[in-house]
Amino acid sequence: MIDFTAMILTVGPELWLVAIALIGVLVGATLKDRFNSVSIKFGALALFAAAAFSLMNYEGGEAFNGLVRTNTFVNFAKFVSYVLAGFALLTSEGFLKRHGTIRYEYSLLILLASFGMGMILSAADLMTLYMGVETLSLSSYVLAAFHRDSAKASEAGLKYFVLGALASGMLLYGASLVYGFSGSTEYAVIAAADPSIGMMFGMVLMIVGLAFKVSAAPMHIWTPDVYEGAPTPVVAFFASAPKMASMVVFANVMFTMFGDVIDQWQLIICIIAGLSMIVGSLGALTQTNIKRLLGYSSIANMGYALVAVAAGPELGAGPLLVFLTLYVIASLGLFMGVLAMRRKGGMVEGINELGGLMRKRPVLAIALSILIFSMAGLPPFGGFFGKWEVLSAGVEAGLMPVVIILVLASVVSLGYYLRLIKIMWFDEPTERFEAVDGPVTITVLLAALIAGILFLFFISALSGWAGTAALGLAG
Amino acid sequence: MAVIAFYLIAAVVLVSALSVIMARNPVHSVLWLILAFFSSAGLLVLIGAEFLAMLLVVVYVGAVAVLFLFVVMMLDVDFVELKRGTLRYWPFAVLVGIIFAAEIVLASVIGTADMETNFDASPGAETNAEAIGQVMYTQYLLLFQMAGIILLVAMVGAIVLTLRHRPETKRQNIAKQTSRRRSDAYELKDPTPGQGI
Amino acid sequence: MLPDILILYIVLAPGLVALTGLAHKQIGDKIVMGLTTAVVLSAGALSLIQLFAYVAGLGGHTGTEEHHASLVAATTGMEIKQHVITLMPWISVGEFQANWAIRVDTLSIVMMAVITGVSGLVHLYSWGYMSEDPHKARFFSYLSLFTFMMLMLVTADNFIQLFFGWEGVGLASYLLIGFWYQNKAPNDASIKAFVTNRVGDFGLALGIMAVFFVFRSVEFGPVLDAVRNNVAVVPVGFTEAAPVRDLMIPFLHWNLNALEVIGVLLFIGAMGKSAQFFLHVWLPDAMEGPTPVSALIHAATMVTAGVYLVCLLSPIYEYTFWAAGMITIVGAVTALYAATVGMAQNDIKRVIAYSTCSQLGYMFFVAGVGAYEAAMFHLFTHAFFKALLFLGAGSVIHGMHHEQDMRRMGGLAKFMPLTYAAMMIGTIAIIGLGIPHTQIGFAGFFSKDAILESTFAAGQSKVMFGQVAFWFGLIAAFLTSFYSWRLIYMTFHGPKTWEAHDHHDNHALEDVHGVDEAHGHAHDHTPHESPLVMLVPLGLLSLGAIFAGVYFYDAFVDSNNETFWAGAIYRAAENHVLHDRHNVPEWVLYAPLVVTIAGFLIATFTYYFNRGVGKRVADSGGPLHSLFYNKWYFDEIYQATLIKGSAMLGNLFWKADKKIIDGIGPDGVVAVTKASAGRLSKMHTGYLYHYAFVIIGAALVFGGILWLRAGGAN
Repeated sequence: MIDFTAMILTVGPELWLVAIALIGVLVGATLKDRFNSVSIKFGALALFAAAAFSLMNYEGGEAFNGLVRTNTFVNFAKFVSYVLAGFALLTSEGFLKRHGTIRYEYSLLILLASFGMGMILSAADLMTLYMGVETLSLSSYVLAAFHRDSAKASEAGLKYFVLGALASGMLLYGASLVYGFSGSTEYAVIAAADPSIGMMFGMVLMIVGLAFKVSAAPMHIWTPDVYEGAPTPVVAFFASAPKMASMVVFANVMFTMFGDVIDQWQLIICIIAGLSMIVGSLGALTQTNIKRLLGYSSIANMGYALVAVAAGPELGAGPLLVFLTLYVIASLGLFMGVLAMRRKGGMVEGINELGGLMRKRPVLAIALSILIFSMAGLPPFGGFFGKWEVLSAGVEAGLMPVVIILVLASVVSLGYYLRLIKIMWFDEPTERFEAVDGPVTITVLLAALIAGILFLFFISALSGWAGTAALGLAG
Repeated sequence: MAVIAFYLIAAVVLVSALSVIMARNPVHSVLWLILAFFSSAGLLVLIGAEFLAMLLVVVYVGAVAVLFLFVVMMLDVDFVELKRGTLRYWPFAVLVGIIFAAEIVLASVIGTADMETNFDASPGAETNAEAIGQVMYTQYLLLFQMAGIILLVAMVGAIVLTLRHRPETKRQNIAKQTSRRRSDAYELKDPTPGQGI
Repeated sequence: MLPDILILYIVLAPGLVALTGLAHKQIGDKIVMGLTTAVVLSAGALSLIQLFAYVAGLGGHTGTEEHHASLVAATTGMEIKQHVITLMPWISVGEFQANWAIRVDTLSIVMMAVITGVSGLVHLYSWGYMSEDPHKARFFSYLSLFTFMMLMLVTADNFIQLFFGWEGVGLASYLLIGFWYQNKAPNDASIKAFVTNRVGDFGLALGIMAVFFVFRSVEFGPVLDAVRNNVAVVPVGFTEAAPVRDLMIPFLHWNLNALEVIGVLLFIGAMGKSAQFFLHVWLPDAMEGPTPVSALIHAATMVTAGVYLVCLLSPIYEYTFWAAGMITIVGAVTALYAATVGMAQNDIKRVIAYSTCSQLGYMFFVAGVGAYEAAMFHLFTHAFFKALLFLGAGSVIHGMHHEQDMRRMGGLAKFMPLTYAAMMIGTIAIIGLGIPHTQIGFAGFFSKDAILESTFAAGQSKVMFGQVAFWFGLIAAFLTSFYSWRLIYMTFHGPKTWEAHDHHDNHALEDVHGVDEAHGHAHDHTPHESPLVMLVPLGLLSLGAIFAGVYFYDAFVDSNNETFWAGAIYRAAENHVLHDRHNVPEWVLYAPLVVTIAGFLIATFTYYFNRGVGKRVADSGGPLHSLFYNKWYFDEIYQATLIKGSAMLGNLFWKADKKIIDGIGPDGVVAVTKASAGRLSKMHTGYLYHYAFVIIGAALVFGGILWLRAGGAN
């Protein structure tokens, strides 16, 4: 019979989220526009509760006849993803209100996307993985085009949709090949199956599909366009929670399903990582739109994370979690910074318009600078330690070429990170900035505090948590 | 016999799939697509999955393809014009396609020694439909429900992206209609000749 | 010992109140000043209570034993009494572990009492001294910041926190020397202090690295225990363990004894901070800072950090020959050198600065010969009388409307009698007046005699350079007496030379501080006694300068010293210096008294009875006087060699770098990077089918790679 305890232990947060989303649909249908503003807080609360939920059942379990299985590794990622999704949702209210597009469906879509994130993290079966990916992707497509009256947003949504469908197709094709050659869709059985060349080919296609989801080069090409076109709060969401979830899923798939054939995929992951770092850091250099710039920066950062994936489960899992946690917090914080910058005519998106921020908004400028430094990986800020852990994992795994690329890409990336700092601190102010929403400011400051400063002191604690979480992979 | 049928139907699938992308007239493309679906259904019947075959026909031919057809016919898009530029990509595309196909075929040929033996279209049951029915709501309950959620997302998405409330559009309001009284609709006046109202 | 919470208060509260300075615009100067002063004074009272209670409890000490993390040193059987409050982990990278912690043992109890006590009084004194400065809040929060950093330094339980405090006090010192940053001289002086300290800090940092290299730990506990017990250690990268005292490590491609290398490197750090010979040049210039700062930082506390470090690391120096010898000789040379220069200076603060330098030399050479207790004792008493002298000098400067040149003073005894009395007490204390074999004497008598006796005893038992140090120290004692009395006579006695000057012109010239103009006009130009708020600290410090010696003699260096130090200072089994000093010949006891009186008499003769003699010597420009007056031309030598040399080297590299390295390197790389970035953005055409093609192409390539590798395997 159905074992409810196991269900709650394994996918409790996801069941909770989907229940809340369904209630939200009903309440929304009844209250209509009166629900718009409430739904945001309601949804954020539900996400925080889900985060707490995933910590409560940190050890995880197995349910639904082996379709889902969780451990500390994925629960760590769940927790971080849900918290960030909560913040991303909470901070979007002001933006949506000003653009007159606040609708309760927005919260519902974020909740459902988060449900998808949770499911792919929990997946222990190719079918669950695919269904989760589709839930997450479909919600994301709609969110990207949420400003349906903006040509740019619609274009972003459409591009994302078409290319995403292609990538999903690749993933599905790969999954079906893997199934065909191994005779099962369960991770565990596949891991034990004889790795025939056909199965490896399926694996390559799955890598391509998953790399698209984490926007690693050369499957990254949708990223800059979508980041530029989609509404900023949506991009803030894209750049934080799903990044964490997708990357951990990527690692989870490689580690648990194909852990024994690491020599088959290590080179491919290294190529993807190297390309991502090169493309991301070079591409960002010439950008003038800050959202686009951050899009490229996220490509480069996914490259760094993939170095940890390529290092394999024993060496890479812990550093991956540390790096991703620090990166996604900083990333969310930076997008909050973009959200916070508003001028009379609308949002500030050109990087030159940030001029003189230090004089007009010193607190914000300092917080953003800390975040940028952290993301650039300058000691003593938190991001440095994340990068450092990834680097040492790469070195220990003997991936010298890709580690060298990592170092070089970090140097190049300083070029645009420091340019942002220079503009904020030293350039002449252009126009007055409008007032900022409370939650946005709080999130920026929190992110700066946590990613930049707090983990400077608690980095050993964080790597300790990540290390124990990574142990969940083995047992 | 089954082998001959397989190759025959498979050939039809390939040819019709190719024709979908090569046909000049988009309506023809959709018709080719329907043929491809039908033939695929035939393949499914060959391996004993008759329920899946019927589903394929009902869902893809009955709903999806017909919807395509509507869209193609209703949108006045000059596909010929649209396709003109793509002609120069053809050689390259063909090359890529061939390499792609070759890789998969080669991979399959090497790794398929024991593949045929372990396939059963209706494990543990008499028919394909029964086999699916046995696991659909039990073993794969979660996936079934998730599919429902995906459809919900799609629905919400469609509504969000397309539903517009246009105040100027005339709509029937039944409650308003039935609650109308005679007095609301007209009023008797007694105009004096030569003066009007 | 105090409960943990009060110890935390003593150490952390000054740091917290220092932050209030940031908000001085909102809450006002007075609140910042009040808060910082109250907190530091209360911390000072608490730490003094702790010290007194500790000393008083030595007799039948049972104490709160559960507080004491006790461990037994195997070699001597001595119990090490220390209590560590761990606040939180700081750095944890493999074997590299460092915590934020507060280490409470006798050394840190003594240092805490000195730091917070003097700092509290200096805070109070500054209410008067800085009363007309427009940036009072900044000054007070710097002072509190300094106090906090110094406390972090002395309570560290690992090298990293010590380094944090070390750099923190360096920063505070830089900020305070350059407090009047509007003027060039303070600015230059602050940079000079910072840069000179950098040389020392480089040594310290290297030393810490060497410690980690050898011991794989930077915590005092494990490191010092390893030295005490001669544990076999495996340095990083080594495969075989060796007993640490015999361990040889490669350094600059020589194979050297590990402890010697560590000892010398760490001592270089101490030299920088404590202004020892070669790295002393910053200390006199640091007198450009406000006088309370000179009293606190450049006399009583920060400059003694080096001595503290050497005493703290006594286990290491006990087993080094060359490093300890280097400490002895550098200390002895500094003691003598600084005293000679001090004789010829005319700036009242510079005289005291050189005197500080010289006294620090005493502390070092006695630590070098193995009597660390005597060094700490002198550090302790010196803090009182040197702070007293500085604050007294500050009082004079304040009374003289920011006049610092002693040649323009004179006859002030009548105008500022209380300051005069305080300065007299300070002077008698520093020259160490007292009667041997009795308990009668000023603070300096007990500590300085302990130093000289120990050094002599060490010299007899053939400790390296012990004899040299003793004679240098004796001559320095003579010179100390001379320049100290010279200062008193020039300042407080004789004709009122300040009347002869046209004070207005002079005033404009000397108007470096930007504030004394107002000050000058508020009063007429006769000197005046300082306000009560400045005199109270003088009085309290006078008490210390008189009684600190006799009261603490027993505990620090005499019969009770082993229970008092309780293992905080370590002496090797064969080191009996502190005991042997009781067996020195009688003449050694009387020699300091004799030379001191000789110095007094000569000073009295030349500067009191025949006032012109000193001036004539100075004017005649004899080679010896020029040498002393120009500080042995150290600044000039450094200018000509190091500074010019490094400037030339810098120029050379700068030009080569600009043309060759930049041209090919960064500039070239930037050009390539830019070009490829441009090409890359062209890849983003915006066409969907291009994008789709890239994705499919990637899948294709990856499949190909897999295929090729599989083919290779077959």
